[in-house]
Amino acid sequence: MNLQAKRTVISILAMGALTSLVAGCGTTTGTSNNASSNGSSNASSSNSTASTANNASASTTSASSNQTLVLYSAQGYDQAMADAFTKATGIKVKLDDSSTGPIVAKIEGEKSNPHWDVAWFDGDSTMQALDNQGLLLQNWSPSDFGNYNSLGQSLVPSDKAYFPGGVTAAAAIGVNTKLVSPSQYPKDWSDLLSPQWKGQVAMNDPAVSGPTFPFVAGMMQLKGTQGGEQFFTQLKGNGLKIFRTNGVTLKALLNGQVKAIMIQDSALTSAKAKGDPIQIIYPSSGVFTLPDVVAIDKNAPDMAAAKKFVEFVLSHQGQKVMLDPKQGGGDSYFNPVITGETPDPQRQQSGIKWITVSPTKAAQDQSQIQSWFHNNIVQ
Amino acid sequence: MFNNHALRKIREWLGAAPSLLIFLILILYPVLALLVQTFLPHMFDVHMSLKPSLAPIREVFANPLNFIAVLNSLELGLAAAVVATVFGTICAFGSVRAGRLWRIIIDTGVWIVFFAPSYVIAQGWLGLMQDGGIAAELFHLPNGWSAWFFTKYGLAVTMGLRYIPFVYFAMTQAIVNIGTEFEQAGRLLGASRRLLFRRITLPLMTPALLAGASLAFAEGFGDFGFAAAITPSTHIPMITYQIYALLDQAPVDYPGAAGLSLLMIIVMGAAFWLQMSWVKRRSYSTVSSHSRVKVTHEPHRFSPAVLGALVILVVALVLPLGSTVLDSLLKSSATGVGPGNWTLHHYHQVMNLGNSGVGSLRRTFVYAVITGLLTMVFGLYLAFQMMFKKTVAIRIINTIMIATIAIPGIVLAAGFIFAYNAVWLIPVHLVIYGTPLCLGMAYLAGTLPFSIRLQLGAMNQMSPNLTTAAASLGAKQGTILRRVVLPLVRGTAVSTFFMALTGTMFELPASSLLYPAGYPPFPEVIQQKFNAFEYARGSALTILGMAIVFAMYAIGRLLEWRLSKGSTTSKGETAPEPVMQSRTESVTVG
Repeated sequence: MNLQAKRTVISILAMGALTSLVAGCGTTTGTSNNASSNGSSNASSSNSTASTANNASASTTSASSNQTLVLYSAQGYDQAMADAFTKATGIKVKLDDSSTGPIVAKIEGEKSNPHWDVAWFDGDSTMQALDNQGLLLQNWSPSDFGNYNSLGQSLVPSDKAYFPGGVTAAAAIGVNTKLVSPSQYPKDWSDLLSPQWKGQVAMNDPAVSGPTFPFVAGMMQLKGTQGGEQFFTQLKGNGLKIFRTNGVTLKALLNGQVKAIMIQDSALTSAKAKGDPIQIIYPSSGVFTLPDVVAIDKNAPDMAAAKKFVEFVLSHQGQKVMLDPKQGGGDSYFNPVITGETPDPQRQQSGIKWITVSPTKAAQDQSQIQSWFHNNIVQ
Repeated sequence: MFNNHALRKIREWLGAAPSLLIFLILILYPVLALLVQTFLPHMFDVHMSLKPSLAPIREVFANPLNFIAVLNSLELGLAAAVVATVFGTICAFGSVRAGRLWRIIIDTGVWIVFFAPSYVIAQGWLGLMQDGGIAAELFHLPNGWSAWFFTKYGLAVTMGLRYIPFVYFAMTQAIVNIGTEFEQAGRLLGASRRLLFRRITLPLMTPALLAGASLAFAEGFGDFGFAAAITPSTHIPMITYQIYALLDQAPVDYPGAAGLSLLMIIVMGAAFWLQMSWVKRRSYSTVSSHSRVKVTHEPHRFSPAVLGALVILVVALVLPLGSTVLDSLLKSSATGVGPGNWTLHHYHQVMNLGNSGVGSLRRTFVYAVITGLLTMVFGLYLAFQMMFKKTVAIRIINTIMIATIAIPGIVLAAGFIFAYNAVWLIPVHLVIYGTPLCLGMAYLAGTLPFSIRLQLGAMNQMSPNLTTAAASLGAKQGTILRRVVLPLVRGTAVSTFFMALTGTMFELPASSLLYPAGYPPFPEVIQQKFNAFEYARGSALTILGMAIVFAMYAIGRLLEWRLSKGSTTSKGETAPEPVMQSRTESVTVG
């Protein structure tokens, strides 16, 4: 019995060792600090505009700040933005850089006890779905809200639960100029249904690729649910190929597997800017807006830092970081929604008919559209 | 009398308490947190509701995609098990019949296949076979040349190649254990080789064969790596990927994932149960306790089996890993494999990536070493408890603990989110979700059941006479553990350390679902690189990680060899030997 008791004690000690050992390995990271920063937050938020505007003085204040922003983001420029934000405000950023799907999953998994302050990804319908669950901070206006141009303002929901940082087209048509002569270029989506394009068109899987769902939902909005379903069914009948995401689909276009693809226009612009043989066509019936959207957690552990970050995204200083392809890669080829900002010269501006996709409707129909597409088009 | 009995019962349960606690914290609570949503889908909502509903279960069968995914996984698991059984058996015969050098080569090859994470292998296949991939560039193949590969058949064969080790380990041991007396007796009586094989060798091997096959099936059915890498390009939905999709894509469906997880645990549990029962049957049908286990017949120099084993290993290992190496070394995948197109540039890049490159590697290495050590220690402790203390409490925990092997990593990781971020933990300051501790615990939960099982296997093979003899000579439990058991299972213990180490270095589900914000672990970073089509960087990171793991493994083997050289004088065996058989030979010889 004595022996038994001793062994029990030893094994309990071992359990203790487990916790301390594993905890010890990551003491530098720690947990996200909740309450501690809330007290100081009010004071710092009031002078946030000053600190973001004044670049030079910002670095001197950085040492004194003990705020930490937890940013869940799927943007190419998020690391650069996090660095610039820390430099400007002194607020440390813990960046969780992932794809949109995993981010949304994580937010939903944490919904009763959130650990994030700001979420940022492409697709307002996905963000709207989070808003519908009451997870986002509503009715707060960033101090630089007035910076928005009219397109920008039109993309802000009435409850101000999220804010667009820029806009791309959920899809445009890209053709391989080595394989298709200018006279054969399609002019509208429906041109791709002709026998000329049989087996030569590809797009992404909306269940995997972030920007593809808004494209599919937009088509349903443009042509009506029945018309939209008919369009994709006909495309499939004409040999439509489905790949996983922009990268694979682009590769298929460039190595001649297909002659035309329908993907996010910033990815096409980025490839074209690199010198790939691509012509971008904005179909005459219109392309669908795909804003990147940034939102604050309703129960953000560090609300003040979160608000500052959103203001930083809408500021000229922040936009400059986002618009630099050296910092943001393909994601930097977006259309600004802030007055006075100019897009990268590689982006076509004229002759684009924008169709604003209703995020509310798309969010509402999301699971129905997704499963229809998967069961009827992908399979 | 009654009092005594009750007291003993209490003592038994108290003795089992540490095991129970470990099991509760690491596995039971997280898994229940996920599975309970199958019946109480709103338990973890912002406004918690305990209203029961069977909708998630209904959805598993009503949603056609879910249903197809389940069917596909069953089919692919079975097909892969058949492929693995055939190839694994050939490799086993090749190894046993080969000369020393070839045996070392085959054995090492199989071990590398065993240790190589399945999504690394799967990514390798993808890089090799896809349009414009490595093979297309090497041989100037047109687009569409590999359409046959991206089908169920291609997937089944590549998965089968991945699971060779499970059959191989079971089979080599069985072949060695059969010994030669029965065959020699048969031969003396004038039986032909074919008759000998059919009537003697095969029946004796059947339990091992079935055990290996059911393990391969369970691996195939529960494999997330292949599903994550290849399923999206083949559009063949599989259950693991479907669970991941329900958890990781918008819109998220936790109850649906819970329903599928439950189904998955049931199927995998059945497979493991079959495997265990076949293993048990073998223990009395073979003749290991009395036969001479050392292979006495002269090894053939280079039999067809050896050649077959080598060819299989080239396909299983050199092709996928070779393509990953090429991917990491080629300047641009679009410019061909010509001279002057080789570069270490990608390695330089990932070394300079800071947080998302070498920083994550360093971080994960620390996780991996700690997980390895804890897995080894806890595994030994728990296995010892289960082996030598046959109380009811221990036996119950034993059964459940072993059964948790059937819980896929993705299910366990998802469970951790709910379990350790639950609202009821807030007042007691135990919300550890989002901290390194939580991730570390998830790693440990994933490796511990395997460790216990391996160590139990090793301890099971020890003759009970040894401990009985020691006990009757007056040795206390502690002494027996230290002087008799530990030296004999040392090899297995070291092996479980490396199994946990590699497992953690390349563990994907928990790494991607549970890492602390801002500090992504190595597997997550690799996955991000591949997702962003930075194949070269992703491959470079993979190769770096593999190099570290193999270096660690080599050091471990050296250590083990040194240790065994110090303690046993007779054998001096230096060839890599499978854990499952590791110390049995010296036991029976000694």
